Parts: sequence; structure tokens; C-alpha cells
Amino acid sequence: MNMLPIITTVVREYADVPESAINRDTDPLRDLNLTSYDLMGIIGRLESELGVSVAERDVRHLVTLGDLDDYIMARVGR
Amino acid sequence: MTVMVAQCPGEASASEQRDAAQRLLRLGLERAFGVRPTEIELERNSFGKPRLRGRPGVHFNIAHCRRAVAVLVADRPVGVDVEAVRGRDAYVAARCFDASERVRVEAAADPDREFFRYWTLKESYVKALGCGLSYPVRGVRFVLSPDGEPESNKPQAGFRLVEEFPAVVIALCWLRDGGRSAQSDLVQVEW
Repeated sequence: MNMLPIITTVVREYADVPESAINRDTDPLRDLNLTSYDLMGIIGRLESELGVSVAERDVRHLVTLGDLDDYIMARVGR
Repeated sequence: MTVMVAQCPGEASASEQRDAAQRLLRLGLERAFGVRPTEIELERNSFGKPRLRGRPGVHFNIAHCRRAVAVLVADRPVGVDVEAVRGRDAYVAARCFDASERVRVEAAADPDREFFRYWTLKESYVKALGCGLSYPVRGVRFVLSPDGEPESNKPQAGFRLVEEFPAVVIALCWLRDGGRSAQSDLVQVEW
């Protein structure tokens, strides 16, 4: 199980790209031309929907959507 | 400080934004410091903020969105952010604004523009520090005075909003150097 389908759905609300353009290796800032503003919205939305908290000091280490998936999976249900 | 701004007549692609930013940077460095385009050699700090190699007294920062590009050139560390005014994102507000800022946004005559004033101010500060997404922006708090002057809880930094462009909000931040005040010249450049 992973959260990538949910992450992909949220990301596509911020980036006008097909689902096939998004995978674990996608860097939303580099590959999807999203901004730090978009990224804060995506993370905030995921926090709200999944009941997790993403520490600000950790955000810069979440480079790819796979990084974000792993981070959330480690905290879901805590 | 010199802030160079080019407004896009439509919506610019990512590559168009980058091209415009590079052009404004060349113009700004030559205008403010006499740095010729052939002398521009960039490097990045550990957080990825670009700087001019071999010219420690020359500082700049670049911001772009689909509607405009802004480049701030100065003799001290600076940050600039630009955002197109559009519907505000409640998730960004919840994550990055403190409660009093959220209240003031919702009470403003134009809540969307007010929202992006706060966001761009916070982002400009983080960009001036050069530490990117790792900085906790909720702790960078602002109050806008009735005449639009930003007041913050960061006394080591000065801030200014550029309100000349209805479609975008631009925020400038400079790190204070011995209390020196900062004048800013706005230069509008054709897209």
C-alpha cells in the first residue's frame, strides 16, 4: 500500500499534466513547474485529508513524490 | 536597490519565464553595478540560491510567475517574490499563516490580494535568507499598516510591497546592514 494515488490526485489539481506524467521519481518543482506556493498547498491538503503533519524542517528533503509518499506512509495512523 | 519588472501580456510558459528572468537579470546587473553580460558567472549556495561568482558585494534575487517576472538587484542580501492574484488557497493559509493573519486576510476589502501580500512577504524573507523551503514561514509574521507598509517580527529585515501592477503582487525584502535604510527604484521593462 502507498499514498501515491492520493498524492497524484492532489498534485494534478495544481499541475495541468496527465496522470501518466506523474510517478515516484517526479520532482514537482523541477518536472511540473510548480512553485513553493503550490507545494505548500499540496502538503497542506495532504495533511488535512490524511491526518498527518509534515514538519517544515523536513519539507526541503521531500524532493520527489516518492519521498513524500514514504514520509506520509511512515506517519499515517501514528 | 533596483527592482526590474516585466509583465507578461498573457500567461507565460516556464521557459518564457526563465528567458525573461535572465534578460532582466542582465539588465539589472549592468544598470546597478555595471556588470556586463559577459562578466556574469553564477554559482549557488548550499540551498540553491544563485549568486554572482567573485562579486560578494553584488546581490540579486529572481522571482517569476505566469503573469510577471521580477529581479531585485542590491548591495545587500535581498529576496523578491511575485505571485499572480488569484483565488487564495485555504491549505496554504492554514499551514503558513498565523491566526491573526488569517483573520486580517478574510476581513480585507480584497481578501485574495491581501492573502498574496502576506504570502509574498513571507516568501521574500525566506529568499533573502537564502534557505529555501526549510524555513518555518508561519513564524514570519506581518501586519500591514493602513498605508500598506509591512511591519514584521523580523527586525533584521526590511520589507516593501510593489502595488503598481493590478494582476500581481510583488514583495521585496532586504537584510539590514548596520541600520542602513534602503531606497528602491522600480524599472518596468517590456516583455
